[in-house]
Amino acid sequence: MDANTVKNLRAILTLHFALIAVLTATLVSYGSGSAFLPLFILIVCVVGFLIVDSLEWFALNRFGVFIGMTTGTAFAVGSYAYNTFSIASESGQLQAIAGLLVFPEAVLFMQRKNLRVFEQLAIFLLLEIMVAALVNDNLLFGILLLPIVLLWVSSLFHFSRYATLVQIAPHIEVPMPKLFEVLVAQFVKSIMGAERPKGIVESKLVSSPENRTTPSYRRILQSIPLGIGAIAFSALFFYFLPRTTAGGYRPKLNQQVRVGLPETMTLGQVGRALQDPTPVMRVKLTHDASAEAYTILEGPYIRARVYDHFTRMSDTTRWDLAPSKFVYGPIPDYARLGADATKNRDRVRVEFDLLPNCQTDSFTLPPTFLPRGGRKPNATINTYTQLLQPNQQNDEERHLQAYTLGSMDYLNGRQLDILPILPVHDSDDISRFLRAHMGNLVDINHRDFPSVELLRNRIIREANVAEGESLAQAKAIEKYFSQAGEFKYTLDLTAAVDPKLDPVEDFVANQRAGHCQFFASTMLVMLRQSAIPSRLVLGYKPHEFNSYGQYFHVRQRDAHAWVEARFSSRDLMGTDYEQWIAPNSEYWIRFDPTPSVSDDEVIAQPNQFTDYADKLWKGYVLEGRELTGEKSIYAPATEQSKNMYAQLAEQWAKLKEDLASGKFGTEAGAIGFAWPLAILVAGVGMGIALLWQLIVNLPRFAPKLAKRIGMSPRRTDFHQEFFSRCVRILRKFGFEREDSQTPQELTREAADYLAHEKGVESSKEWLQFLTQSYYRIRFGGGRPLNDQDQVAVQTALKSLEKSAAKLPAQKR
Amino acid sequence: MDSQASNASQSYSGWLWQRWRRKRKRDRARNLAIVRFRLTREGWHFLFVLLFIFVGAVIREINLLILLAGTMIGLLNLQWRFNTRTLQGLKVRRRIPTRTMVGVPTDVSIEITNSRRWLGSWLVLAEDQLQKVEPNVKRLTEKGVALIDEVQPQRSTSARYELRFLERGRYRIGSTTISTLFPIGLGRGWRALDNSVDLMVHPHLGKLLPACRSLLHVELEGNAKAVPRASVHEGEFYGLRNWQTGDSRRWIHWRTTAKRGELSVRQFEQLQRRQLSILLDLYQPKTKPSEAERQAVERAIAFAATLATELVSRDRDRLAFAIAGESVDVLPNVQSVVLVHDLLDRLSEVRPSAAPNLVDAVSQFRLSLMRTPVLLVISTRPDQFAALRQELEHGLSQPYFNRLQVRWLNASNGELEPYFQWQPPT
Repeated sequence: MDANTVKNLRAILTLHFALIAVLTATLVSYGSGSAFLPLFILIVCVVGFLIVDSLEWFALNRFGVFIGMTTGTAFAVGSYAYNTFSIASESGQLQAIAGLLVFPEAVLFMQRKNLRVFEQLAIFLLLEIMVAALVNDNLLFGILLLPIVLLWVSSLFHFSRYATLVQIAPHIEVPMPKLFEVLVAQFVKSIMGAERPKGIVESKLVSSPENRTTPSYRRILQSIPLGIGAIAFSALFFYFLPRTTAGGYRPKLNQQVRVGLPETMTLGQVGRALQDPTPVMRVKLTHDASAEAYTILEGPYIRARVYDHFTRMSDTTRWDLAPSKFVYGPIPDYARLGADATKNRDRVRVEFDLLPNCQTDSFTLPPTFLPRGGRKPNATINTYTQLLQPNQQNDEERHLQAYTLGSMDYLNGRQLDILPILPVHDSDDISRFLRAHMGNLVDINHRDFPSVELLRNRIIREANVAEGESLAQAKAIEKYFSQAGEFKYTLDLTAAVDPKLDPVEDFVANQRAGHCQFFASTMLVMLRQSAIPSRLVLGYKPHEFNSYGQYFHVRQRDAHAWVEARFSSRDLMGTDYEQWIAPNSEYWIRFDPTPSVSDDEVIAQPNQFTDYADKLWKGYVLEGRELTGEKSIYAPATEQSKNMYAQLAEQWAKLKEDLASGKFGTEAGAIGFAWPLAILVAGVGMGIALLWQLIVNLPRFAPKLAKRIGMSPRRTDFHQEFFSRCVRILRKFGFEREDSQTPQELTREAADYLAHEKGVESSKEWLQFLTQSYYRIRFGGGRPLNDQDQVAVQTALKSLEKSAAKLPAQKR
Repeated sequence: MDSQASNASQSYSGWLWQRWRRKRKRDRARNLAIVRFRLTREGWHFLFVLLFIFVGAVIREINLLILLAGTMIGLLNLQWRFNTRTLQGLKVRRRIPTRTMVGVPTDVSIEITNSRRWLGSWLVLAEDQLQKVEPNVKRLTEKGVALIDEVQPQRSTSARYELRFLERGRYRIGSTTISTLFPIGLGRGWRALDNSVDLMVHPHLGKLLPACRSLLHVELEGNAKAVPRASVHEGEFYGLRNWQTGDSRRWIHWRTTAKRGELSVRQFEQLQRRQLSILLDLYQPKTKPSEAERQAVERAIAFAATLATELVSRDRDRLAFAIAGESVDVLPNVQSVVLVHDLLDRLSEVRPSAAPNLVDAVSQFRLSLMRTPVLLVISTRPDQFAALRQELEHGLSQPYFNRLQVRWLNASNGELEPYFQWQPPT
């Protein structure tokens, strides 16, 4: 065996494993933000390949390997302890876990390669991919999975060849013996007292020119369809694996909750959020009936928090939800919604797809109902805030990673700013509670806001609104802030504030510039000064639209605050809201006093294709929501298997009862087994099997018929390929060998025809030589042709082929 | 009536027996055609990691791990399918000589034909089990291994390996096991073929020294003139065999060729010139023999084999040969190459004995000795002829003993050295 072949094979394998190691280390450390591990393993691989494998200047011996492995492991464990107990860095912990695999790999790359080293490398790399899947669930994993699998297949291709060569000739490598093996050998020697007896046969592989080695590039090419096949199988396995739940939410090791909206809000908090571009979620609106995309004209007001309690603190103002008996109930079906929640409204389905770094928020677009499809949230709804309350207790289960809700907040693509206080018509108890609670919504300390009071009076005066016209007053205040231009929208909050004043008072008296939270808080104060029950709502108003997925991409900087004020149907009579109101009802009207800026326009999301691909990756792979949704291929099975265990237990109990009472089998008909269907399926199956057998055995039973319809198997070709080729060439001239014809008779006939009819005189000589060669092998003990004869045979065949090519394809 | 009933029951049991035999034959053929599959050590490692990942994925509901596990299952599945498909439909043909000699490299060629239409076969390893059948049964750890890198569809490829035997005997080559790790080495598929053949390994020949020639010449002078010369023909007709490249067309036996549908040629025996009777006395103590005693036996056999080869094959002489080992074997007329091969076959298989039956050997030898009263005894012990003579006196006449000239050569104390040079193969 050629030593260079084995050396090349080792080098190719090392290169493959090095590439896999670098790619896998990249995947593992992608989320940690550090490039140390990929760079480290890259350098080790390059150095190892050059010095250890190519130049063979250096290789770690057994002692070196022991020292290297111990040091690497100790370093990784120490690093993990340091990052856990000392600095509490999750990314550091991740690096340490990855290091536990990468450092031993580095030691293996510095060893002289043999079968065992390659095996150990493969196991470490497999485990590293598993860690990568645990810590890195983004699209990069999916993108790199195919090349990594292809590299794996290609390396295993070479590995199988290497293992075969080592099996044939173990001397081609001298593996570093394990301590255990050395001890066993010593023990055996001491017991046996002699070396292994000499064999009585020596066997040696002889390289044959006929049996050429497949070039390495062909093995790499062969691995491509196999790798793609493995991925395809994986896809089938993944999507056909029956499951009843989607992939659970698991915070990744390096994942921190970074976005969301606070339960208690102070002025200025939203300002920081407004400068944070971190993605929060994707929101898609579709028609509930047709599931087609629902076109809207501007970004939706997505509700996240409701604040109704106002506290003046030493240097700021704090908003929160007053602690009171909030009323929770199941999310209503569409049928349970009242007329004032459904009249003149479009039925829209909203899919909320929260990104993993979003905290446990629930978002709604009320009035809310349970739609027909989609992933239903396991939560109840707070009738007062119109927000969801997850049913589960622990944080992991509380997190509503993705859910679908119905919304009646739209009409012809425009979001309505009127919301019935009680969307569900049968909630009288809740109604009484809410009416009692409404008194808190005008609670305010008037002495804290003299400038605000002055401004409110001016606005109402200038708008010529009577004191009793509460809706008109609110509209006037909203219009003033959004259009008058006396107050500016800014995120620059560096101007000095007066700590003695309430921030809202300071905003009106001194600053006159701020973001949505200031505008909304000021209007809220003004509304309460006018004794209009009102509350502050915080949520998102996105403006980046993804045209591929037809959804809004919501970022943290899309956070927005607005005001909701309560009005009775009497207040709303004769206004634009009349078409949505019902008698003796109450409504929340949304007011957004923030001046519009150019950023509010709906724009195309930057890098929208990448984000859409990421959404698909998340939906179809990470969470597998699409697997359990109504479009899933096994949705019926999911539906059927919901109470499967309970049903099975029940049936088992019944069976035991029947056995005990002696009724077993007497009610067989009641099982409801679909006998006709079973017979049909069995009949079709048997029919197919019979047909197949008929096709297979037809040439045996009816050879003439099989021949006539072209199902007769071809006559066995000649064992010698060169003569088969010769016969194929003759077939072009219309010479088909008859059953009673010997090869010589065939070629003689063909030679006569070619010589006399076609003028190819030399064909006689070629065909005679080919036939003689064939006979010599066939009847001469099977000895192969020597080199000279082979050349002569090929020459004769080529000449014959050339003649065939020159002549027209005319049949005899 | 009774006989009829017993005949009927006998025929029924015979029918059952035949039926069972046919079934067993069918099952055996089916088993041989089945491709078996077993995970390699790497495959077990792979499976272990796969189970670890899959269980973790299911318990923790991590879809990425399920995807990863699916890919790994896919690879295992492909390994299994390719493994088995690669070996199905392969036909194996082994080319091996029927005889060889100790120490001489023997080429074995394995040709694999892929009869499938579109799927090739790669990395096919053909392994021949080796077993020593005679003179003592021994299963050998060595295997004859040939690696075929690729067999394209509807093509044949051959590979060779070389065997070098260090002990004489009859060896069984095969059955062949074809196996492959293709494509990714996680499992090995294999198929066992029922194609074992026996290979006779003749004793290692030495070199006859000039002293031996002169000795033989003197002893054979009287007979040399009595032998008729060769005629215009190649020799006396001996038998028929298949045609081989290099055979003269004149030797083709057309009637047999027409009957068999294959070219057959006649074989001839060469005529002899001189005659000699040889008795090989293979004595070896019953207790565990020493290396020197074993060597003495092998040396004696080698001397006998060399004598036969040199005298008959080259000089066309006639030998009468008796072998007294564990059994007695007599070849009264060794006078052609074919018969020398026959003799060498027997020498390959012969076993020494603690009590070789020389009396029986000489008794069976009697006619030859009467014709050629020159007896060369090649032994592994000192001269025993005096004792032998006493035992033989009852069966043989006095004049016969008077004519008999015996030469006793003891291989164990170096009496062969002046006539014979031999080194055991290493």
